[in-house]
Amino acid sequence: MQAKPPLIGAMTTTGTHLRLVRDDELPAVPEQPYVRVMSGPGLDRVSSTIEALITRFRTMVRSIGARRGLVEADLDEVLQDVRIRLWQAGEGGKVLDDLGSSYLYTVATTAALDLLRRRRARRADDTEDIREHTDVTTDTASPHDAVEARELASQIDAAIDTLSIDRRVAVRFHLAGYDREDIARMLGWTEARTRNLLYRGLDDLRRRLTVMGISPRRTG
Amino acid sequence: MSSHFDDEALRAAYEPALRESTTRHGPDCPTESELLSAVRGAGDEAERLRVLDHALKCPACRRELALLHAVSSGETRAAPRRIRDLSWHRWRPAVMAASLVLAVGLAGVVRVRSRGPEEVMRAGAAAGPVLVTPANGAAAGAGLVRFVWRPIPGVIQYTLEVDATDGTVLFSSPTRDTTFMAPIAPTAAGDHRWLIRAKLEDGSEKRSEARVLRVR
Repeated sequence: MQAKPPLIGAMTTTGTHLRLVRDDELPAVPEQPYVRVMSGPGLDRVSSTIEALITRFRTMVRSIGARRGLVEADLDEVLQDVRIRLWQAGEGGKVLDDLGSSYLYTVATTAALDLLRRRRARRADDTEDIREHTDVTTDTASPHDAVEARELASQIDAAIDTLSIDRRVAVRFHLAGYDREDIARMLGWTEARTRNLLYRGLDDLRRRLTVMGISPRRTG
Repeated sequence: MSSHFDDEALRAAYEPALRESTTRHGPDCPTESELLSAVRGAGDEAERLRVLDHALKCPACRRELALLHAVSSGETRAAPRRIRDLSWHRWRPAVMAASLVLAVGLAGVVRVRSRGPEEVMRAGAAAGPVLVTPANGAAAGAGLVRFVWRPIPGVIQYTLEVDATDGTVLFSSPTRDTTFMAPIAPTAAGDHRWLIRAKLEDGSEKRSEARVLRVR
């Protein structure tokens, strides 16, 4: 059986309005302890409402995070937590249809923060990270080319380190896939200031790379 | 090939540095709360720069930064909508009407601006944005409701917020205009509070008064 949030077994509903009940109030079908509580039309509707929310939210979050290094497994873990929290929202009498999108973002942010805390607390060096090996497994270039590409990236990184901190942060954001709107929002800068610092930072970087004798030719 | 990196070549050359990913943190890594504060633009600029400078270089923090950014900052990017499905087809007539209302609203803004500096001052230069409509305590049916407020100088973005009486945010949407058509679901019947938050160029925020909106 597919893994399900444990709290589902202790919930019932009126329409899309959830409330928590004691387990002995649920209709007993002992051989199917999970499926029995999902069989009512109200619960079906709640379940499909939550899944629709999760699906839509996942699409939005992925569209934002895709180019910025978001790890799919991290998002999946957060969304599983969000799913449970939506079910729990019924305990407070919340009507799912009435929850605004900002509520979802708040719940997801809290879930993400909790996930990071749990990971750090259980000693991150025990965690197996499948992405740690992707640069080896997905690279189709020869081992020599891969080493050279990493060396070039490392030299660019060293050149970025020599920039002033505001230009450095703007350039690193840019190269990591964040757009100017992201940078401006996080740093509290105006669009004009962000554009200015980014362009000057990129110019500085190119000059540094030229002085260091690093050119695009080395990538080919 | 040019001897200088163009943007595409620079990104491609730097990409191997971004591929490194780990969950192992060092002693210099910011806490997850400090990361979230930086993502939200909270705290002073020097501290945000320090945290983000580290987070963008450190593989473990960069991964966390990407997650926190994606799940927390999407609110200001995503199209505002209530959770109840508001399909384009369902609302197309209303949205077309809203476009007309928006055009009228913008014309109204132009008129307000043409009235001179005194009007701009009364429009809330010293305080937050001044609300125009709906009036305080006004009743509205389910559907699209038009919200209008007066502009204030130096604004990057306004945010319309409709709250339930318990403070839960029912609707929130950023806009650069001073008119907004917000969808109100039939299930939202009751008394609500609405207000405008204005984010200014210097990073500060001003709020309008809050008005009561009665949804029938």
